[in-house]
Amino acid sequence: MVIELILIPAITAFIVFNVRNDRLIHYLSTSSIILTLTYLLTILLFRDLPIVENYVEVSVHEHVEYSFSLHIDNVNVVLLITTLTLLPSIYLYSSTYMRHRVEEVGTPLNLYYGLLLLNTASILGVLLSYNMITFIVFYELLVLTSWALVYFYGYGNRINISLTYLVWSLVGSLLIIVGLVGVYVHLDTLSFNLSLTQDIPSWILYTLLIGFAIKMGLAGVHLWLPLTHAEAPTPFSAVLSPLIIGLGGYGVLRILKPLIPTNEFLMIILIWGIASIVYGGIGALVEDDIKRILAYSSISHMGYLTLALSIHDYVLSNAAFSYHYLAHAYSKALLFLASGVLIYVLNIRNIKLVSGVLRTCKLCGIAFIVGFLSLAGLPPFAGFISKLLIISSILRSATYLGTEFYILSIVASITTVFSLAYGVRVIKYVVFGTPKPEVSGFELPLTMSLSLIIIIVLLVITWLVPHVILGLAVATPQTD
Amino acid sequence: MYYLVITELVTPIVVALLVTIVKSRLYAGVLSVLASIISLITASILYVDVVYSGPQRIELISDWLVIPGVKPVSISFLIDPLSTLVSILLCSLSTIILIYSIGYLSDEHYDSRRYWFLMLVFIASMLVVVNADNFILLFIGWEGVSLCSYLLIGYYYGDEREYWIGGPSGKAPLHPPSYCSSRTFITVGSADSVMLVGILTLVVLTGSPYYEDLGIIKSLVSNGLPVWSVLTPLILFLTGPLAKSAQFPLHIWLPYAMAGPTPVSALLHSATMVKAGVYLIIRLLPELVGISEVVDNASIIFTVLAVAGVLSMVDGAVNAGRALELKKVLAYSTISQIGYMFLILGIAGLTETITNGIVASVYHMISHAVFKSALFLIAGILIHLSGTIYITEMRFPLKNRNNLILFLITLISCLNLLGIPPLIGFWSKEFIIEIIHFKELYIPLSIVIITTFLTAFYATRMITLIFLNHEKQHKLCDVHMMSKLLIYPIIPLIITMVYLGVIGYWFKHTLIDILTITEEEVEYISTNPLITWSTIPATVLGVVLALIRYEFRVLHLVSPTNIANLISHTINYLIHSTSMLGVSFVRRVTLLIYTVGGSIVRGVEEVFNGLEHTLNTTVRYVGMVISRYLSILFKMINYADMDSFLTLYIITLAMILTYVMIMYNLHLLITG
Repeated sequence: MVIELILIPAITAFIVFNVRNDRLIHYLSTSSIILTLTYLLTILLFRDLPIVENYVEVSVHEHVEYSFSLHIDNVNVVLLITTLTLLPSIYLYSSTYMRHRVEEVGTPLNLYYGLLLLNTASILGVLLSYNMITFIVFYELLVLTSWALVYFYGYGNRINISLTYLVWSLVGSLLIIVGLVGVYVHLDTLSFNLSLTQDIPSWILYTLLIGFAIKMGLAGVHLWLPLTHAEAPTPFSAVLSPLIIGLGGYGVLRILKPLIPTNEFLMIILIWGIASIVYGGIGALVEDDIKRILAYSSISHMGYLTLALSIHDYVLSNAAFSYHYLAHAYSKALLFLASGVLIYVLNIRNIKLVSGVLRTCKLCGIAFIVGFLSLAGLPPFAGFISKLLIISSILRSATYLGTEFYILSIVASITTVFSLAYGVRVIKYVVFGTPKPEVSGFELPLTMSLSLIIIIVLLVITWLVPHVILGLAVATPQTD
Repeated sequence: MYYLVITELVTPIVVALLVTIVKSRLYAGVLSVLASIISLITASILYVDVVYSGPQRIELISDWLVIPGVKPVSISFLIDPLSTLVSILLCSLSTIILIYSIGYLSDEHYDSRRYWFLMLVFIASMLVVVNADNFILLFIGWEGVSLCSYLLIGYYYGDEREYWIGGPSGKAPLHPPSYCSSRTFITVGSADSVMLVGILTLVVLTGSPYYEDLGIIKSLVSNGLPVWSVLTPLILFLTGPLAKSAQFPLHIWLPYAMAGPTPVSALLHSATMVKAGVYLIIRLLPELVGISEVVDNASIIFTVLAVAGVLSMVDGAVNAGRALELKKVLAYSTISQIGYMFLILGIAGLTETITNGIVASVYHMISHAVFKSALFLIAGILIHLSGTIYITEMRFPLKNRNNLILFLITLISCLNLLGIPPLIGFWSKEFIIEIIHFKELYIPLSIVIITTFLTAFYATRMITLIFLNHEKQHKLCDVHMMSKLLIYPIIPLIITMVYLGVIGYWFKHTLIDILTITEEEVEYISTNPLITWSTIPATVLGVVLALIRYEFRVLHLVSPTNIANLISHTINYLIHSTSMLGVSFVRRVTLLIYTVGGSIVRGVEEVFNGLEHTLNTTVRYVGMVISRYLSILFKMINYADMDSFLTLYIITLAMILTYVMIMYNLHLLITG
């Protein structure tokens, strides 16, 4: 039942590898993603959460019982919806953008779409998996396909950069595997159905935290992130930045949070989050390359996700995390796609060299304004609700946890100013101003404008109906 | 009543969406005016309804947002005399300003549909701020106001040279509109973020986002909640109103806000943006006073308000006397006038005269809204006709009939600003002075009188330089043609000033009757009438000095030892040195932060760049072997499609097998 969500894109990927007609490739892959989305919505409409399904059960050893099981519950449902509602726009956008890029690089288009579909399948796999081994396998597949996409279609020194990404991710994976083995040894289960306990030694928690932090690109272990995000092909940046690095946070939420970490541990997460917000914010303020600005902004927003993870109550934490994952994914993808327009049409990435986008291409200018304002948490966009939820939740959790948490929470909340500052800076340079005389007005291709419009509408709709999304995330708290 | 509220609030938004698809720009303008008239009519009906049947709470969408652990947030509105009164003020002024905008924008080469859309959303956001009954909804409107002001100040986003402000060139820096709007938004938006933290802390503490539940804090404190955890959010909360209403030290954005079209400035100064902060304090005054009665030291919030008000009053008036741009004079004048409202609110909180404080500030809000919008609308005409933004370069000789009309309108508005009886400006200022005197607060009283003097000085200076000055080298503006759409909307404003001025005394008592909130008997204030007239000599002195300085130019005629010369030099010196207190102080602090912060950022970047470089090199060496192997593999994928399928399949399979083996071996290793 649930496995089709992974199978549809995966099987399409293998079909697409063997198709040579470009148009057919676009149709196949985009329609398969839309089919997956429809499938997910149908499941959600007709079945109650949580849905757990076991497929294969293997008993390797008397202690090692592996079962390939997938599930949808309150923790991953919003993330699934986000991923699958965002991806159709990105696939649509790729059809024009990648035709352009493929001509420059000289690698066939079917490889791009095949890898992207496999990538999608593995994102869904990571989200759906209910088992440590499944989780890790899909995570590795995700890293591999991302690496290949950057390797083949990236910009700049793409071979070295993709390698940097691969090595960093593998180090992160290694730490996660060690941590998971530790968890397995102490709890004697491979399933995510973790029994709540505080007996886990702290080194395991720290190992897992560092592993996932590398995947998220928090400050200090972020060194791969600005490189990779800036040089990845732009539609894939829109997948990589909000969706894939957010999965690290999902790992923390799924594996670390049920182990009831101590207050000191939560404090470390909180401080690390604040450090990321500030560092990413400053980075975004001083950079001039639009894609590097967005990459630093991602570091900053991973900091916000980390703040959500530092909340001591699981339900609150899940609600804030899910909503911010959604809001950040939409806004950041919108911004990456809009900056892709600059690269596609003008071939400029430096924000100081481009001006007056609102005059040359109205939709692109509006997309920049909407994206940055949503990141800064202004109504009427989804970012507003997520900012509200994160701040109120950390303040609420601080009332249980003590004075230090209270002070840190207030500090953390005030750091939201950074998002505003770099957003306004980019808008001033890129969107406002008089266009250069040699740049005349340009019309966007239909697929590009359609994808931008879809995401803008999604941002407004998710602001209008927060209770529906939060209802999915907090309906029944996970008690077992 | 439910449908009336929906009509009042939703009409501007619906029409705003409609305006973006209308083809004709004129129709867009007419539609917008109609929308604001509909809002005005519904607001008036609601007002009558509320006065006779009492306040009501109208819920549009229940349980819109459920923050775990807090009462569900509904989209609901509190319709009471205060909110409807301010709504009427807002809608009527916006109607007038929108009619004016039709004439003003007729020859622009920007797509004015964007203007109408943003103006309507601006008005709708302010209506939400005025009518909201909970903090979250309030904050949505609040941010909407910031957002629209940002986009409207940057309306001339093309940064053409004719729209730049500042200068005159060579003497002071010039700024393009995009710079001004960014600067405004960063100041106001940052303050909003800080305010949100305060709001959410209060919401989390009380467990409810509604205004009326703010009183829960009292019981929390008596149950042992530490006082600082209440004071911190309250002070954080104050940042929002202070920045929005351009009060010291967060007032630096207001002079930049004049980069937008003049009707935007008129709306922003009269009814929407800068009044939002004052309105919020008025709205929460009873709750805040309630808290300060129970919580120790909580009256510090009122001290902050009063001090900010006093400083802004003086600082704004002093800077208005220096400014060279017409709209800048008016902007500083707004800072100064809003300072009066904050001062009286702070004093009301400190001395617990809630109703009187509310009435005085609402009264001054109304009178300031009327005369300041009139002044801005005239400023739009003057700038448009003379083609310059500097008062020193304008000259409108009074021989021309049209110029005379402009002069009279400006004069009446300025007399309001000065508080000359029997205009509305006199009564509102009089009531503030009465309360301060009744409470025997002589230091604020003397500062108010000094500010009155400074106000008279800068207003007279403005009028003299524009209309009366006889220097030869200025451009002459003989106005023969004037768009009727520009001049007619100002007439109702002038009529309102005079009419409300004539009935001013009774209007005050009507306001007291309507706005009485607390159950206890309103404290009737009786003071010596001489006190209320005490500002007149100060005003006259200011006028005379300004005339001596700028009109009769005694400086040039009489010997340098003349007393007038001495005084005018003293005033100039005073103005220059006091202004250091305001703008320069903030500018220096900002510069300091920027320099220190910038060097830290550069340092961090350097360190991390070095680190990244080192790590990249390491990674490159470590990965050399892997890279050789994998590049061979992927060269295969590069050229064959079927192979790529097989390769990826094999890699995946290998990964799975490897991990199962690793897990198994590790398991054996650990468990023995």
